[in-house]
Amino acid sequence: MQGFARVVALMLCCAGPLWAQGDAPATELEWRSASQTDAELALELSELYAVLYNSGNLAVRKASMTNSPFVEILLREEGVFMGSFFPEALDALLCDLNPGVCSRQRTAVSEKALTDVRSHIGGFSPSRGRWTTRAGSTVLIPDYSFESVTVLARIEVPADWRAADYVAPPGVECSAWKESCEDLVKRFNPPTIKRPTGTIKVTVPQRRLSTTVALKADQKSNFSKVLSDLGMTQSGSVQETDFVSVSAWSPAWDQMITAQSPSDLALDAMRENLRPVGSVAKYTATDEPFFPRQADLFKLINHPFAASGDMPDEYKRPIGVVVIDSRLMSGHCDWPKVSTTDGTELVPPVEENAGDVLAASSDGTTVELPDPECARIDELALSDSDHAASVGGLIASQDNGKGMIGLNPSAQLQFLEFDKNAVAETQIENLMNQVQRDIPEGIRVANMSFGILQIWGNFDEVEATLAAQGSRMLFVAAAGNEGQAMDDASCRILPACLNGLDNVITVVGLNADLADPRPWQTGTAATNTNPEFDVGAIAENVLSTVSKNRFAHRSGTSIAAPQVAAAASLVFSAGEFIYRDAQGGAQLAPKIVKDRLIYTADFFGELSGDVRAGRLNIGRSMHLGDAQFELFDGRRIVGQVKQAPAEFTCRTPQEDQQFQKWWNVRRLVYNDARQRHIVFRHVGGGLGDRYGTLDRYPSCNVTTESAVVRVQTDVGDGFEMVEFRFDQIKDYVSPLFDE
Amino acid sequence: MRRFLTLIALALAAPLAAQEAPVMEAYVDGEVRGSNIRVGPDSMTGAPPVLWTGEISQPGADYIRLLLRVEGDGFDASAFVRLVSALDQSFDIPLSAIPPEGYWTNLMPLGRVRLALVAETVPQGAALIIENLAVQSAKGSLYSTWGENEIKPINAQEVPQAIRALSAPIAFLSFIEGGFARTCTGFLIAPDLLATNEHCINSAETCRSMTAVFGYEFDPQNRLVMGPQLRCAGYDETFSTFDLDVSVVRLSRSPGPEYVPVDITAGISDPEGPLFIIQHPGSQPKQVSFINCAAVQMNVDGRAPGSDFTHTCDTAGGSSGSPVFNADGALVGVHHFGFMDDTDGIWTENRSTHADQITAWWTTCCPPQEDAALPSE
Repeated sequence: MQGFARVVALMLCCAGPLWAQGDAPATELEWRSASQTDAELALELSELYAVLYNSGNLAVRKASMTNSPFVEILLREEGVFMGSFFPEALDALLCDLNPGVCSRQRTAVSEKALTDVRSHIGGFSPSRGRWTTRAGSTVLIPDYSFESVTVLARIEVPADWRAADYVAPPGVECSAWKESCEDLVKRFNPPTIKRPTGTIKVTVPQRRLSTTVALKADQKSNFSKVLSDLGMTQSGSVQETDFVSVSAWSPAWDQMITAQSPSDLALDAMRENLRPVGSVAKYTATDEPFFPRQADLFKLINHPFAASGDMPDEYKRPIGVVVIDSRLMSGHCDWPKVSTTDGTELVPPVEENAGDVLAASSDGTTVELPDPECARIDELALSDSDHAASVGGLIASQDNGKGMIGLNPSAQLQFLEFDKNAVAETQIENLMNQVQRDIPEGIRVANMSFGILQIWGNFDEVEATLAAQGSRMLFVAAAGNEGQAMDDASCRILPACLNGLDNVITVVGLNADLADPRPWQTGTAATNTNPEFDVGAIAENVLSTVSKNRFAHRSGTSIAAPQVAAAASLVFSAGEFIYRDAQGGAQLAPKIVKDRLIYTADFFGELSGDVRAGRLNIGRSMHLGDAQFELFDGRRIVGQVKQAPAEFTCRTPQEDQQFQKWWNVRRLVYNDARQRHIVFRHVGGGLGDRYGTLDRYPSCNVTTESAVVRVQTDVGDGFEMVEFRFDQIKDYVSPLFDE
Repeated sequence: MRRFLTLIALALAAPLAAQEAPVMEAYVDGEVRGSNIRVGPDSMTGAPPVLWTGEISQPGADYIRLLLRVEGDGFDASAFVRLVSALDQSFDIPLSAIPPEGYWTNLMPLGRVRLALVAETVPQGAALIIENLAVQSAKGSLYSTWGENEIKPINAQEVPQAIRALSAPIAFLSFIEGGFARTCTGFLIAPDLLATNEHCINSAETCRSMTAVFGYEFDPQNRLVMGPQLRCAGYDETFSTFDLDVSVVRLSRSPGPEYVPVDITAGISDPEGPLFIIQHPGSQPKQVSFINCAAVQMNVDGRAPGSDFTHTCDTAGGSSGSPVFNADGALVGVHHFGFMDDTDGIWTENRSTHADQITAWWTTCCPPQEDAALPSE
């Protein structure tokens, strides 16, 4: 049981009394193979059956040996065994299941071996059976139905491996990716310059087997109670009679299995292979214990969690987000399954490996142990690992009834270690190499909450590296905490000052004042500002995860940037869902997402000169398909614009700004202080273009008055047309694309 | 006062008084800036026990140090400041241990530090003041090299393992004097005794702000690493010799058994053959000069007659106080002067004092310390 049982036990401290009053229902879980070779698969299946048999949970059925007297062939024909050889343990298990046609030497295992539930058969050593079956015999065999599942796996191959030479092995099919396995491998393994010698890691599809495993009702089981509280038990769907009745256990094993929970023994032994059946997203955001501490943030950036506590399905697509940050040694109890970009899984820390959690050197400070409750706020979490953990957690913490919730719990989080301890010259070189080589294909957003100073002539090279990802990735950069008021000429911090690129967006930190936000500052630090930096987000007292299963409030632009990264992932998610069919499955260009986050922000006159747009408004940015109007009379209208003047006019001394093309305007928002509209529009392209430069003109005194705007809005199952005069528009946001 | 007494002594001892030596001072690698950050009851960011957290960052600086002061007496006895460096080293400073004149923190590498103020209660009428910042700012220093600069990082591939094995007790010294951040090099001569140049550490004031950083180097993977930092626990002028330009100070504790002290009692008189100097030139992480590194003239006059030998080992500002070893790894001298530092044209060569004279002075002036009772980390 060891650590697993301990975690279970700790979970139970908060689970319980509900279960104690009822009967224990059966539990169904998905088992999935993890082996990479046929030989490993044979052993994996054999161990599965041994665990189920030894815990009394093996489901069996009768099968007739029509073609051959060999039980191995029968199992293969019935689809309940695969692999390159037939393990002795499985032969022994089947022999014990069928004592009428098989006998074997049964030697009781030692007391020590008895505790490994995978290694024996009912308390006896595995041995080959002496079978007396013949064609036509009927025997009991395991009753499981296996499905083939293709997953992407990182494997190590010789450095001369070429994606173009890859041929999918039998049984591997990649229809889930809507392309051939060969094309998939090419897409995930683009050619790289100067490959390393020796071996490399590549991404290839691999076949896995999946089946549903049922565990019968077990009052002693701790883990079953947890599953029950998560809504994952299927009461009544499994009958006792479905399981084999065992009478051939050794006395020692019989005694052990009576004293302990059979289900927990089985679960502990199978934990590497188990996946929950169905969804565990039972909790809504407001069920998170720390949700009240996050409410202010949600309100400040107008996140949907501030209102409804949930998001529509189109925002729940697993968009890949990579956090490029300091080294992280482990996962977190409130995160989804996360990994580093080289495929290393980051598992939450448990007490017994606390020493591996953080490689920080300490001078007189007590080493913190991981929090088993997943509920501790520790404001002394100040290490670099805590930094990375806070960035990741704010993006993707789960709605799991523990701790907090991230801004996009569906994001697929990965971490890429950026070595801040390397010599300055190699930091830039390392960063470029990592961005070019190490970011997996599925990543659409990269968070970069760090800054390094420009050194010599590498600036252009870094810019070229980020620009090369312009078709697939948006980089979100923190402005930095040095309190510098920069401009184009003085801007020298990487990567923040590269936001001239279409796929780099730089985030200024703001305080937590809802009505009158200002650049974030404290006695020791302040956000860098630049009128060319793109958007602001909250940099004050933001709750997030930190290392060792703890939580802490963070301040600074490092915690502001992931808010924008999460918002970007939501726009990618919904945009590619809404527009995918029409666009033939194409991805959103990062520039489209970047511009969206800029022109949908909340504008505040006091932030002029500090940041190009105002404060991030996630709710507004996520509403992709419709135009959004707010009129001076207070009405809010959302729908498709069916009629509008092709051009409207501004009274302004700047002649080239007098005439504005409606279909290129992305935002028209009234600035109360100046009694002018601010105009954001795309210039340099054709009518309706979204790929030109996003230009801001801050001083449009709209003189187009009586022109009619007609908007088709959804009402129930139908729609209605709403009309208003152009000069009634106080705030307009264009849809992501025109219909 | 100490210098004055020394000068009187030199005047009385006529043969020793005739030496002409340039004025030597420790290498300046940064400035002290006022910061006046006040963390009082009205600026707390949290509730007890973590009252406040903050971060200070000076982009481009190799390190910073903070002068802390406590205003008022409202902090509870257990209150402390935690500093977490960019290398994730963590230092707790009890507020009760901060003297009225203030306390210079340890060196925070890469110009960045995260801070937390921890106390059981919110103080009334008391505040933590971050009064000054010492910011490393020198970008490049004058190297005193013979021919090309051939100083190598201590973990560079071309550095012999035999040399690297002797590097542990050599430390980077940072201290504040005259409103500037200054650096020298020092080396352990006993588990908690550190030797450097007298022109580096020569007063209780320089001792108070001194921190000795062990293991400050780029590792074989070219990543910056840093070992323990130990403070100067007290300055005793009897442990200092102006003539030989050597001071020995006691550290707050031993850095540990893996930092094996350099033996200064061997009394090697002749720095013959190839030499090497393990040092922190120009406030850089640990480096070594061993190529074309040898003595040139023996027994030349330094601050005292015949106290020095000249050498061709490459050095720079900040290398002062570095041990000079011969090929056997025995101490033959203590480097104390690079010719590029002399603006008066008095000394035109790199200089080291003789180890045997240091041995003679040390064994006479200062009885050996008991090692066994010293605490280790």
